[in-house]
Amino acid sequence: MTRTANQPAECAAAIVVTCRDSTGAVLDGSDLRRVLPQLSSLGVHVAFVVQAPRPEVGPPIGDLAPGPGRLLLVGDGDRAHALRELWRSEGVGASEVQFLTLLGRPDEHGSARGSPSVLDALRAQVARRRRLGVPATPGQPGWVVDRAGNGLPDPAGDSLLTLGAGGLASRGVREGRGLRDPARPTLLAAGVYQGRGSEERLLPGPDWTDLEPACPRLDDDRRLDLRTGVLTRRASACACDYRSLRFASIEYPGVHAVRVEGACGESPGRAAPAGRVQESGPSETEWRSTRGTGGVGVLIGERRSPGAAPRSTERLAAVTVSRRGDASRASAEQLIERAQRLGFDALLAQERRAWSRRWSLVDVRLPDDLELELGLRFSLFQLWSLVGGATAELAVGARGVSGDGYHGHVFWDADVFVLPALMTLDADAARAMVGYRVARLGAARRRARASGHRGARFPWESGTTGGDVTPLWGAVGGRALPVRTGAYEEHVTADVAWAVVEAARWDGRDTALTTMERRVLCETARYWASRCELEEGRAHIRDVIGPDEYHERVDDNAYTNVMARWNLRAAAERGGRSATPGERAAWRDLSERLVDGYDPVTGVHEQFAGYFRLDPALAAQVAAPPVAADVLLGRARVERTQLVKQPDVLMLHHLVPEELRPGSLAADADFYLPRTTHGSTLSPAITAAVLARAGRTVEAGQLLRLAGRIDLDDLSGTTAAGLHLGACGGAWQGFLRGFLGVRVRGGVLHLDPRLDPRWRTVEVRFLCLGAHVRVVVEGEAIEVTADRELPVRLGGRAETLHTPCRGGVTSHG
Amino acid sequence: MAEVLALLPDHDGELAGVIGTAEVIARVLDLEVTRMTLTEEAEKTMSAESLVAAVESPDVAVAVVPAGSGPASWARLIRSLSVPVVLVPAEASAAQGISQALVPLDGAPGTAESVRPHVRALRRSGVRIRAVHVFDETTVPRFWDQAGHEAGPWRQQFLDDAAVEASELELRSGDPVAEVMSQVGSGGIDLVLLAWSQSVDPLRARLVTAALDARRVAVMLVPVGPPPEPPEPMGSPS
Repeated sequence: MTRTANQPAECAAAIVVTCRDSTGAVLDGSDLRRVLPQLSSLGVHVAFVVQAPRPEVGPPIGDLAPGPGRLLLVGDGDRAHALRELWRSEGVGASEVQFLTLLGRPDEHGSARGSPSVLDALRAQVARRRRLGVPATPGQPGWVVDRAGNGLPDPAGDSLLTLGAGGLASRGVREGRGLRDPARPTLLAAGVYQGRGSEERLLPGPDWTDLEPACPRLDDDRRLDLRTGVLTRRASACACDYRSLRFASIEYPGVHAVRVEGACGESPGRAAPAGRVQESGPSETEWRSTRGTGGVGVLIGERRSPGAAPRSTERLAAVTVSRRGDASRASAEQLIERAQRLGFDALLAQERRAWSRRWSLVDVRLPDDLELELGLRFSLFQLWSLVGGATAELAVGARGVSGDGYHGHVFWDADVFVLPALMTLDADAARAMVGYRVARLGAARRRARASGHRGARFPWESGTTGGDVTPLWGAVGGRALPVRTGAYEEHVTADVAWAVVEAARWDGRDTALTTMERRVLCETARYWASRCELEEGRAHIRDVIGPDEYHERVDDNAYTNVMARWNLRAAAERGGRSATPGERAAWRDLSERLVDGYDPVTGVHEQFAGYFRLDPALAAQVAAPPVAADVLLGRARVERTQLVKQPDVLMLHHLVPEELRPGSLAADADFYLPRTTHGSTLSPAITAAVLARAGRTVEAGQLLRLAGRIDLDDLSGTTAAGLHLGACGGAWQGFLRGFLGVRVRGGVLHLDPRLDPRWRTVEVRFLCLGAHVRVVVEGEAIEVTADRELPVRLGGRAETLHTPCRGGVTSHG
Repeated sequence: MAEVLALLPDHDGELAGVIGTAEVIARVLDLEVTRMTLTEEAEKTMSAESLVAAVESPDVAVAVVPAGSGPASWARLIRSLSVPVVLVPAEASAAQGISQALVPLDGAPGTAESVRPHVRALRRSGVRIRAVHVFDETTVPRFWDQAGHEAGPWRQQFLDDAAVEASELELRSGDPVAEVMSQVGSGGIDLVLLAWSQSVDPLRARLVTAALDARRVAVMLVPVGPPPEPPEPMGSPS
């Protein structure tokens, strides 16, 4: 939308002043020179476009911009490019720009024909900011998640609209108490728990969004702008014209900010506890904290706009956490002081710029599949909430920090679904995830010892200590039953080892693990070595539960055995001094003996011993997948069939394809896909990836679109308890690994696209081997560029190229 | 003034239960009771439309009728009324008071909307509301991740989405009629609130029949449609 001086903008993010008839000395005006620094310090960018053929250069423009708003003086010739670049890098959308026209050469006060209105418009922008006006953020198609209100609480929407950074997140709850569920948390921090054992759960942080609108049950529309990381809320149907804007600073993880504006009642931001609110001016602060095993604290600074309606209130909150003991108020004071010194507007401008940079480095463009494009961007956005904390360890619960579902317990989802995605976004965050497991190696050793084994056994569900916190009872649908995953779902131990090696590979440290990483690898191998039972020269792992949890306590689950085999081989190869030569030789020998269920007659891996003898039921006979077949039929009945909850054998083709017999992918996909119900939210994305590798790209595309909608459409009916972060990670890695064929082996990036035929063009950017990589596939042509030279292999060929490079590939399966 | 209409065929021998239940419901909802007696002759000669016109008035919030079989026009009357109809079996415990009500919810927004105001009114009067949801072929969820964690979040969000103020939600799997009746049989239930589309719906017909066969439990059939205004309590400020 184009605005002019006669059509006042709300709070514009940028202003373009076109100087007609002038000679370029537009900045000589003293009034202009006064207002420009004010705009810059408030985070507003101003560009002067000089249309004269030979513009005179005015005084140095940079001196007028204390920042973070930028001032630009551009000639008409390079205007379009310069401004496009500015808006892109600053995260400003075209609709957030105000256009003004300066007619004639200004005098020393900035006056010229038309210029008083320009000055007025610029001053109005300053005034709006100082009145704490809520900036407009219209958002762009393909970048927004909208939630229309219906006058009722919307906890699923609150999860979807979560804003986070550094493993700290605020759910997108509405300000005030009228439209929220008080039983659900507002603020959560990764790895900060309360309670013990299976009752250990994420500690809800103090609420900092309890601004009380004058209209208690505002019916509203909320919009999350993924491009800028900003959540806005508008209740235009109400007489208030209530508006709010919120963000979680990624420049300063822990700083969260909200500004509300409205005309209804005495103030839209009437805070519940009186006494700390001040009319503009310096803020007082209030400390709130919660305490469990760890602690979460929030220091809140609040100020209100002066004068008459529309009244506004602004809060800056500094959140600090401790995994053990109280959160530090002193750290919060330092943080809020820094935030207040910058101010809301400057922080917002920084936020836009930081998100713009993120999206310039990691993104996907699928012009022929906008539904999937949005789903993948949403996944990336929420994965990014884990990034940025200066911490050595990152505990990623099943719902991340968007909700308290699954108590925040850490499952295998973290190691094989989230981590492979996160390492394409941020290497430090991926290392911190590995750090979480490494720091709990002692607990894993104790667990192994307690069951009479050597080495280390990681728990199915993990919290603060690394001891197993899996509940003992649960329910499938309406049927209560004992939960056996904690005792028998052992593959998580190999999954942890796999994640350690995969993260190192992605870092370019294929054979250069750290000492602690080697210890994890070797201790897990020791566990498997002591867990295997030898019989007639073959090794077996008995009495386990595989990823397909429909079948419990089975022998020789293919996934468990093959992952254990990979673990043994990897430790023998990379264990270094963490294992003796004798151990390494024994592990190699044992790995050759471990059965993997491969049937040479059919070419199919049997999921576990006796699986082929089960009732050969197909998923479609139950209902159209995805369907929770165990809820419908009951666990006992499902257990008697070949129905599979999620990829088990197929998961191996995704994680460790080199461990399986060449050519077995197609046969396994043909056999297991009709039997897979996708009753787990983890299932669609990985199945999509495997099908893409098998060349079944149309079905693969359908499943990936489903994966991308699991939370956006609340397909599970449980999004209110938090986002399914494993599905988010699965969707992104499924797209990269399955459809682009992205892998890193031996410090070389491998690409082998198998695209859904409806995608004519794919552009994807990601982090790999310490480089920012951009891949464009158009038809059969592939182009790879990076910000440093990178070895690349295309289409499974032996030849190693170096970026930038182009090649021909069979992009469609 | 809103009222509970007790509809009393003069040939039915089970009128005490109807009157008692109507009085209890009127007390719970803070309404008044009026009675309408239908002669056998009137039933035979009046069309269903005439019966509906005779029963429905802007003041009638709930109609209470005996659960025994009646003429065809009687069934059509029940299907045609736009207000909730309480079917009262011979030994209805509701005639003595309502302490617990069971609300089967199928997850459809219309079901929740239709029963919501009545649940709210009952709850405010101290009635314990027990909701039940039965998973079957039509309501099976797509995903059920971890048995140890899924039921809690699922249950909480189901109730949030339904916005029905139930004290508890029982999840069951299997045949909806059998599972709901199992809940009814677990004791203490005086009233079943059942949303219905007023069409011939085999599932609800089975459920109503089964509930009434229990002979103790009254069934309130709440038409599914635009959410009705909750009955205005007497004496509330206008």
